[in-house]
Amino acid sequence: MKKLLFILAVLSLSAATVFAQSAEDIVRASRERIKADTVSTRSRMMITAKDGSVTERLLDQYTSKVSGTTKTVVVFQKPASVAGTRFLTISNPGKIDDRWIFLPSLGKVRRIAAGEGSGSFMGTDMSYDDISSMDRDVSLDTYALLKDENLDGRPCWVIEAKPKDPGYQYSRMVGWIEKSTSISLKMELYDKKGVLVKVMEIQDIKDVQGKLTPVVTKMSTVQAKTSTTIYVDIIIYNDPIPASVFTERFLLTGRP
Amino acid sequence: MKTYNKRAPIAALACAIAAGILFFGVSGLSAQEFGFGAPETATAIDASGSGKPAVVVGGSLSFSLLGFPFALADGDFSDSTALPEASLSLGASGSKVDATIGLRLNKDILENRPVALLDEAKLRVFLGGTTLEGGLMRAAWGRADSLSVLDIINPRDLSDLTLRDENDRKIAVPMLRLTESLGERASVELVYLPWFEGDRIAISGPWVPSKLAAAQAMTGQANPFSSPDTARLDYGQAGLRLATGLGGIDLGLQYFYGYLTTPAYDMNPASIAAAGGKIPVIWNRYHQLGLDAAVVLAGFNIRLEAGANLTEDTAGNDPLVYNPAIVWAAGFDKALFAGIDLNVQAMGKLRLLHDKIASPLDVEYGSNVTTTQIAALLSRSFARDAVKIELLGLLGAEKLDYMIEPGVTLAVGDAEIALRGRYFGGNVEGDLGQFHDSGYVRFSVSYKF
Repeated sequence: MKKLLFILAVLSLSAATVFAQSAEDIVRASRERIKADTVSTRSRMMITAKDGSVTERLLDQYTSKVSGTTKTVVVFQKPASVAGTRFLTISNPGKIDDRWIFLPSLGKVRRIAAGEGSGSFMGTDMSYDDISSMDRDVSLDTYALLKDENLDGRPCWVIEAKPKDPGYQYSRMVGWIEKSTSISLKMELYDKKGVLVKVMEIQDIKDVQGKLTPVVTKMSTVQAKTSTTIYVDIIIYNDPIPASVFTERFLLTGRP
Repeated sequence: MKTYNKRAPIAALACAIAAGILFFGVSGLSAQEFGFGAPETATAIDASGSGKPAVVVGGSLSFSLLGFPFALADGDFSDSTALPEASLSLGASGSKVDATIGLRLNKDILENRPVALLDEAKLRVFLGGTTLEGGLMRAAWGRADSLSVLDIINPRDLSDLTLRDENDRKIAVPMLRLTESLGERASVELVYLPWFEGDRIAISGPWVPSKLAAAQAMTGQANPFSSPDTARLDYGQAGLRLATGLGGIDLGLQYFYGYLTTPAYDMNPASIAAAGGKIPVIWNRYHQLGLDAAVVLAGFNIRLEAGANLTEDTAGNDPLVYNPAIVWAAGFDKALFAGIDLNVQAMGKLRLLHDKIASPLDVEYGSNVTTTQIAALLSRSFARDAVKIELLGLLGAEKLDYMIEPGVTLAVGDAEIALRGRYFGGNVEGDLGQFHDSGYVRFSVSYKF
């Protein structure tokens, strides 16, 4: 009898492991869906206030992936109050991101702690963590496949991710990943008390260089009733980006 | 507000540089080669830059109401005022070069120092991994946020204690800077300043230092000091800085040979008589060797600086030269609870050969062997950073003098509305306490374009 119970226990543990592994695989497939060494974008951020008024930010983003290391530079172009601000993130698998920011008013490059990642990214509904979440290391979270569900008629897996780091700004993230494309169509973000704080939704997808690419993404802050919508006006895959873009020199000068 | 400085010849040179930039720079520019180009010109088809000159005109407008409540309560309206201010910048960038001219316009500049209209004028040439810059510029050395002991290239404007940002306090000076990239995270920087300018202090208005007021009373002159002409090549300064990264640590090493921006005063009666009744000012040459680091540990974003200021008073008993000193700065910021951020900084100086100071005429006679300042800033942002509340405290540890600054800012579109005030208190012998029981409240509206 004891032997039977042991086998059942092992089997149930194995099933749970396989289930969890499956959820992680789905997320990994989603994050690694677009194979490109580099991505260059110019985007407009439309920041909508509670009263419906809209302000605009224009920013360029350059991303390079080499040997598992992801490097991203964000350059703010407009408006004048943020123009010239540059932000560099270097993500190494299994490690906390290295982040630096250059603020023209400061005149120098400043390292940013990961703990500052929960703050608003340049007055938008995105946090610093949100900006880099699309490339978030899969190993930083644990996953569970909650259910299958149609989202706007699209069959999706609904997957819950919980960060291993208790200091991370969210306690859990629930994502809708389309089965046919592996695109993460929607993400609900819950704070440490388990309250839904933000919802990210993909509103438009286009084929760019043979890759299905989200070109309109909306992040809503639920309680504040504000939102930020990102329109990707230009996106180029595999366009050579000089390695010197991902350096302190570029942050300081805007020149590779 | 009148100030004491030696700026006219420097401004004349800067004007010449600015004219050069306008004449040679803008006419020869074409847009930079990397990136999407200027926002107005980039399109999905032409994504690598327009190839046309990229000229950007920007600036800011602000309007402030400045009130000194304690003086107003006594019926003194002399320093409380309305302060319209404008800045204008003209920038042009090409594939290998960019140029910037910045103008600053306010009542004080127009009335007292029109040469300061030209706030900045610089030209940068990009030669592969090498960047050559020249002009009337500000540079930033060290890692500390504001209480820095290594950020020594530019003198400071101490004539207006309502200036908050470190960059606003820095006075742009002529310099030539060569930066060579040494890989992903390493670079070496060479700086040459053809001459020298000291810190600017007020000789009238609410921010006159108590020692200056005493000197004014002693000499009977509004400007009681006699300073040598430092806009000469024999007052040249130079430095070298190496920045690099090691794992998760940013590191810097620097050497500078120049002048302390704080003057020494010759209080010998014979010297004062020889200078026509004014107190002779002596600028002290020194070497500085400094190290700095920035690292994130357990959520604390830590910055450290340490340096040795080696003056020529190697015996410690020259009354006209500051003693050598060890300087340090340390700080961190940390996200606390409920969205509250804490930034703590401290900086200090430990005088060497302190026991050798014997003459009552020594510039450091009677002062503490250490000088320490500690600053703490608590801030909380709301509504996607649209509203920000801050409370800054600054303490002089030895004299127990202090400054407190509460403030609130509101972003409305691209405009900012701010209400801030400062109160100075504590020991009147301290740098902060000398303005004991005084303070101001400032309401300002600003817009950048």
